[in-house]
Amino acid sequence: MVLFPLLAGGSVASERSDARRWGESPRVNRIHIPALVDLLPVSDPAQIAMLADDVRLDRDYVAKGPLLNRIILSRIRKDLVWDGAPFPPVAPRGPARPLPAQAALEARLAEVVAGLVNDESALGGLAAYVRGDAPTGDAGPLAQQAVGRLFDPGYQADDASWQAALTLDAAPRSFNPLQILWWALTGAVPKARRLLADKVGGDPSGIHGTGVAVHNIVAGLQQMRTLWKDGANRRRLPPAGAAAHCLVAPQQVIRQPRKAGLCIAGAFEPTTLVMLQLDKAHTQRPTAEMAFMAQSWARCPAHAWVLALLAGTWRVAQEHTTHAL
Amino acid sequence: MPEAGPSLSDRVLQTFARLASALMQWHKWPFLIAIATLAGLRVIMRWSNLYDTETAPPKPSSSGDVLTQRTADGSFNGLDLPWMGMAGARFGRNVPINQTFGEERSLLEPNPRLISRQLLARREFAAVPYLNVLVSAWLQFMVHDWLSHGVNDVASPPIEVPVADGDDWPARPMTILKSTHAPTTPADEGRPTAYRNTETHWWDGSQIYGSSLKKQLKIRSDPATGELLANGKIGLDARGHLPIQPLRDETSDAEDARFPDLELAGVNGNWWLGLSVMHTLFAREHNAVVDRLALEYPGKDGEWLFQKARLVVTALIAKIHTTEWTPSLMNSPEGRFAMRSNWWGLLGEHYWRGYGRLGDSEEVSGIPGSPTEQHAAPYAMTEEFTACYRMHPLMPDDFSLRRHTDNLEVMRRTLLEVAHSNPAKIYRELSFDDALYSLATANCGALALHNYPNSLRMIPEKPGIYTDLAAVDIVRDRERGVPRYCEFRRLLGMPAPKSFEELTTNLAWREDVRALYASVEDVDLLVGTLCESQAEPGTPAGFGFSDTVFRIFILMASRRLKSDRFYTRDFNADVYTPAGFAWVADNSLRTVLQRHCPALAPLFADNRNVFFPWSLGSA
Repeated sequence: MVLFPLLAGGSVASERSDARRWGESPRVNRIHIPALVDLLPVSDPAQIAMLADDVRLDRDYVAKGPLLNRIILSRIRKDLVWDGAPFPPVAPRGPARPLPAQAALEARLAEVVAGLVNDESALGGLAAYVRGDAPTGDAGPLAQQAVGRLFDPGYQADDASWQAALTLDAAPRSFNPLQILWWALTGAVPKARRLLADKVGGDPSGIHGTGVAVHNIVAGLQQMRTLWKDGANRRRLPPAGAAAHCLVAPQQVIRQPRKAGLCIAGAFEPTTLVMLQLDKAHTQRPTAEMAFMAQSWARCPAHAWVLALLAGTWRVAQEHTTHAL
Repeated sequence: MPEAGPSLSDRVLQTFARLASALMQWHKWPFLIAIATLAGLRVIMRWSNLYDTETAPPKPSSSGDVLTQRTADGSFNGLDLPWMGMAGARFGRNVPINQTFGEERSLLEPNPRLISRQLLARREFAAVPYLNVLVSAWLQFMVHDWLSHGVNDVASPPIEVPVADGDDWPARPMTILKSTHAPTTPADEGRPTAYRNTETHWWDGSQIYGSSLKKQLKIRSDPATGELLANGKIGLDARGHLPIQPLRDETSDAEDARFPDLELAGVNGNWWLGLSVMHTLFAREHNAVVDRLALEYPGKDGEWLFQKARLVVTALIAKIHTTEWTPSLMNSPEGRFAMRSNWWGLLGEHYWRGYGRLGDSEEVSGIPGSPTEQHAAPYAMTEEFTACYRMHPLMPDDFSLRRHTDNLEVMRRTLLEVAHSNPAKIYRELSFDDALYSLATANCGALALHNYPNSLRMIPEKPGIYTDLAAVDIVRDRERGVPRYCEFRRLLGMPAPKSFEELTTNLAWREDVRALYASVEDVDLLVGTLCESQAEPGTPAGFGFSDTVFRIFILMASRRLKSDRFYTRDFNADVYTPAGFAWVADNSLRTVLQRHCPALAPLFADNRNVFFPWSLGSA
């Protein structure tokens, strides 16, 4: 999976960009407090599409710049690594994230899609959750198991693995000092990472998928369960429509400039963090392309599989309740 | 390139509109508040109800002067996005793309044929006493300019609609061909099916001039010789009528070949007498503009004259639509003011004619001449706009064709008897003026339940094969993922009825609708908007269409102008020529009629609006 949420919700107020036309000076929404923080949030879909492929912006994540920037970057590099290498979704272009390997993973997952369509065993539990036949808390382990089986056909999610996923997801984002202290004292984060790694044979993409990206799928399933409660949706919404409706984009992904420059969203320094706010952009342009950054080098290799999983879940839910529609 | 967000003044309007709308429907407020609310609603929709579906835009090829002339296929209107709005580009959407997946399991629920029979079929002609049939003719004249989904998909299995026992439909099941969808690309993954507009999306007179160079050259040819007219005019016969299109002509629409006497036009599908009248009038108007420009600019060749005349005629049509047709259907002080402001701004026509624009503001001096803007998405016609323009109840089933001199009936014809190749036949017995007079003195139908023309519910296509257009209208919205009525309103920021009681105040209609639909949430957009004519708060006073479709219109009517370079930054005397620019300013449908049908002028002399019924001729 490509993306992970960071700095959820944006606790720092920012003024929205109002770059009304090309050629006009954009009203920039950069948040820059010397020595403390230097962020450039971008939520416009067209701007994100351009910046996603801007070669000046990458994922080196070298801890430098103002305090908050350093904290963010060091957390990513500390928590989202395995065997000393960053997870592919947070690795820079080049050897750390070889494109052929990503392409191979993408192709393998695309092949799985065909089998997923008729895989009642994979979808039945998720469909039951969507219909409300399973407890609310089941979504996490069910989704984690579905993701995990992409990397190990015998993957069995349980409370421990789901708890590990919650820990790994929260680790780079938490600003709760007590929680951070507790994690430091207990080694919870490395333990969680190791547990998840053991279940997928140490595949970094698998660790990220079952530990971080899975939370977007869970959020989508929760939306689907809400959608299901409406009889009109149950009757009329086709599977592909339900999938698109319930596709949840990562809150934001981070790019670190390799040098100072000017982009459509404004000026940046090497110490600025460019925050591509995918969830806001996805609200404006609710397409899979936006959610997965599908036209970018950094696209999620599981884009087809996630859509198929969501659509299949809705289809099975509908098929099992035909009489009630 | 779409902009990143509304300006500060627009945000103020947005906030005002949200507050006012939360308290009361816009049309219940006093005049000034209502107008400000409408302006704010338009801003909201410009940023919340425009979605781009294009993933593989058509590739335009530039030829000729794209800076000061409209291209035949609509390309290069947007110089930074030259494919925008060209023929073959996809329809956009007015609701979020992830909510526009075509219906599958529920495509036939409830049965479209039952809806046609039990809710739409005309029981008794419900007329609008203050509007004439030119309203219906003009509407279709415009729609043919803006959009077409092209021929249906003959390669896929058709949609099969069960036909109930006791239904006199001649086949079982009823079959409806699917819409032809746009070719998909990898970028379409996870997106709903999209459809292409086979006409240019722009308000560029493509119903007259065609959406391809081949078609354009055809209508510019001498009907007698087939040679391109060197003087820049549109080919008309010796009587000033449209020529007959040769059978199986390479530029013909799919259905042309079925009708041997079909008149030639840029778009001549679904042809009927009203379209014939409008096309003939504006072909004559084009030639009159050419004469005027040739007089003023004697050194210019026919190509230049044609292209400038096209600009002028197209802008005149847009002006007529904005300041005459739409106000006739929005016949309230707010409606008239809103539409006239779209063209001339708050300062009004007299100021504009006296002093020109006062700055760039579209609110102050109107959209024409203001800066070009696309707002949230590149310009495109939308599926929701298409759905809202399903206004077939405006059409009568029967026509009394009369002489304007004494109002004596010459013939009576059904709708199908004035359709397709029949106008050319009618002109053999009835003059053009009389045909026009007959339409201008008859009333159009009301947009209401139980008022869909029965002629259109059984259109003969081929021997033994018929189309129920009412059923097709229902299927098309579902197939193309247009949300049903309640959801549609919510996505436009409007309150939705929570029960059949809130849907309509007409008790009989309420029971009719309840008998077919399991829930008010299932009510189709078309049915819901027709119910709105009798609902609370319902249709604004004086309006001929529902408040729901009006919301789409205030967005899209402005957008057709605001997105188009030739109505905004290039709407000036430099591009149009001083004589051409003055022609647009000085003329209206009234003057067009006066010029080409002077004998009829006394009959509409007293009309505030020529879309109101004219005086009857008397011997």
